[in-house]
Amino acid sequence: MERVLELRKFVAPEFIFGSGARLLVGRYAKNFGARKVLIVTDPQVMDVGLVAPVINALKEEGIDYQIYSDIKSNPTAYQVTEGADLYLNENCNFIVAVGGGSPMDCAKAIGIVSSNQKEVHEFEGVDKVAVPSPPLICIPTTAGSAADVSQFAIITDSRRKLKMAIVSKTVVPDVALIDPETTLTLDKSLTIATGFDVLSHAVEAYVSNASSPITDLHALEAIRLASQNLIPTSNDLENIYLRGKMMLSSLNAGLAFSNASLGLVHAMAHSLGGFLDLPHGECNALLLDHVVEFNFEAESGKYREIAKVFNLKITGMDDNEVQSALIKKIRDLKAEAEVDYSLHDVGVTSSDISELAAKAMNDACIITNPRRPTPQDVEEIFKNAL
Amino acid sequence: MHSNSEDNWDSIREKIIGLGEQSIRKSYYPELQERLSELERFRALLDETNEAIFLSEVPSGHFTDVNNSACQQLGYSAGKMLEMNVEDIIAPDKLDEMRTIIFSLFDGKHLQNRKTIETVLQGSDGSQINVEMSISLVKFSDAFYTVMVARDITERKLFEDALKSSLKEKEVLIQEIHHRVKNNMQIISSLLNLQKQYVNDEEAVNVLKESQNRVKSMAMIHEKLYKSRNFSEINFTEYIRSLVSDLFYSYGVDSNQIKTIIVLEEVMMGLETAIPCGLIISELVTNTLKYAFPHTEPGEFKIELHSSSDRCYNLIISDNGVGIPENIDFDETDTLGLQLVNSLVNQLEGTIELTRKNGTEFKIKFKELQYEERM
Repeated sequence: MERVLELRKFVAPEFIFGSGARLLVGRYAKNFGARKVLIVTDPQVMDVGLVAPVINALKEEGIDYQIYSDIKSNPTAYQVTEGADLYLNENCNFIVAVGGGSPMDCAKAIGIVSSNQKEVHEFEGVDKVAVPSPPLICIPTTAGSAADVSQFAIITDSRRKLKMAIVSKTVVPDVALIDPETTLTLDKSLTIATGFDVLSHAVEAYVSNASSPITDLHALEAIRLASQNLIPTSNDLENIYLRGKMMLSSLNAGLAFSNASLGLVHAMAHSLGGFLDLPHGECNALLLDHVVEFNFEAESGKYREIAKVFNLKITGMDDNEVQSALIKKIRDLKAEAEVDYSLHDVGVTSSDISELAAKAMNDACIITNPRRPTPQDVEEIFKNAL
Repeated sequence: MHSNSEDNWDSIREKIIGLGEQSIRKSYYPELQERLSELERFRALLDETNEAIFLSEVPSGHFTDVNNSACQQLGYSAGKMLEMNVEDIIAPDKLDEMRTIIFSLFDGKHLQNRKTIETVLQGSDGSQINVEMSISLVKFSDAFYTVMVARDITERKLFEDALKSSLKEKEVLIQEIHHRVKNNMQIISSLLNLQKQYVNDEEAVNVLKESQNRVKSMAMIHEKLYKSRNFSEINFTEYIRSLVSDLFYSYGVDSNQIKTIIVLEEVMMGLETAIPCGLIISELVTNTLKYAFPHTEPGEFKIELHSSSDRCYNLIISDNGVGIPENIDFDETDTLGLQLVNSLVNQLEGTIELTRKNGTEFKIKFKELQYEERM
């Protein structure tokens, strides 16, 4: 209970949630004084026709634009540089990101690189951004990363084969236009991967040592929505009602983790994703249950709450029993979603583990893990997931 | 990020929570303030300069910004100026020129091209100000503007006028001096002429006549100078023609008796070279007229002047008369005329060559002399 009195901050952008939210982009851009917008997106998002309505909305307000779409999943420092050059050369003064975590993170990095005139790796870490980026509107098209409300931007350094975490309140977007309709075109595997990303965000934010009563509210609500709707949504991809629930889950998780930060799952997933270029949501899914196993003892009370939200009947159970039940629940969910394979199955070998662990130890997310791990602990968890 | 030490982890955690010194929410205000201060400083810079600076839209010509000097010099308030147009501040007879320049910049979209002109501004009270104005085209967002920077050159104009009239005065003065020098020489020449009439000795008459011709050859140069209004050079070709004809007249030689061939290139020559050269010609022509044809038999006299690129001259004076007697050594002569020629050639730093074949031929090579500053 003494945690109630600890200093905590809650930062969130202005956001609009609901059907058609994305179509307000023209009005918002105009009110921010946009003259020429750099639209940061990726080829898949363009192919499914999610960019054209944004362009039309900008055109209706007489706002010029330029598109940067040369982004693959896990955006690299090179793509950031390329985008920032385009932003400066085209004399843009505003950024709109349309897409999942990759375009949004890339857009955040393009913004700070162009306003600070520095290389992106100079922002790696916490609070390293001196000048805020130009105004940024995010239109998420996945229910997962929640980069549209977070203070995180994850950029891959291909040379060092790792993901750099840029953590700064200045990369929180100015406006998030969160429109569940944009997720209707997501295929099943991406729906599942992003769903596990949401679940990991929510669980990690809830047990984080930087959590607060406010972030807890959002985190638990996100866990509730994700645990109930992830599988149904993956089996009914065009159900806008279910898509709305998952989008709301993602938003809640985003508000929670942006302020409470994350933990070991993400530290390890960043290391893994940088090493093998795997989808981020999938990495989280492969690691979540193993980290719960390691962390449980440090925050057993909170994990009991999580178990309740997962609809587990835990009355009368001791901590060990709850731990087992919760881990089983997560593994069942993974099995149902068909992500119940191991790190070995995605190409990790035991000889990679010490390097993976070392990089995870240096990730900003590890700081707020409820239990302080040693490098040996992290290696052990990787081995368990192998 | 290095997460080895406990302190480091704690301080990073503080920042993640948002309690670090730099953990502030994105705000454009500090940056905005900085830019505003920058603008204010820049504004002061513009306002404190003496040049009048105008920013105006193209093609409408409406002012969008002007500095303090512009308002003060023209006598309008800044507010009033922003309701005005470029054409409101240009003197009516300079309007067309201004329009042409602005539209040529605008049509060509010449962003790096600055044009500088002299024009006249018209103030609120109708007063006119001479200015030197540089005009350049700039582009903000998608709109074009001209930046005009005008410097008051009223004083410079006054100086220029004063300089011009002072120069004019000096020209008149120099002209007058040459005129008087020529007149004085003319008087000397007349005195010699008078003197001549009072002596009976033929030798004495000759001496006086030669002296008279020498003085005249110099007077003629001063006359050419003040008549041409170019005080540094004379048209030497014209001079030679006048001189030769004068000498023929002076010795009463009929041009039917001695046929004159003149082959001259157009040459402008400085005073420094022209005077000795004129005297040389005078001596050698006199020599021909006096001695070459003793029995008034018909003959031919030829004078040539050629110039080469590096201001070198070739002067050739020849006749087909009896020739200079073999017993006269040109280098060791005791006749005044030839002594004079030798010393004048030396003065010109030139060379002289005598050929005694079918008469007499003097070939003189010399260079244009540089003017030397007198102490």
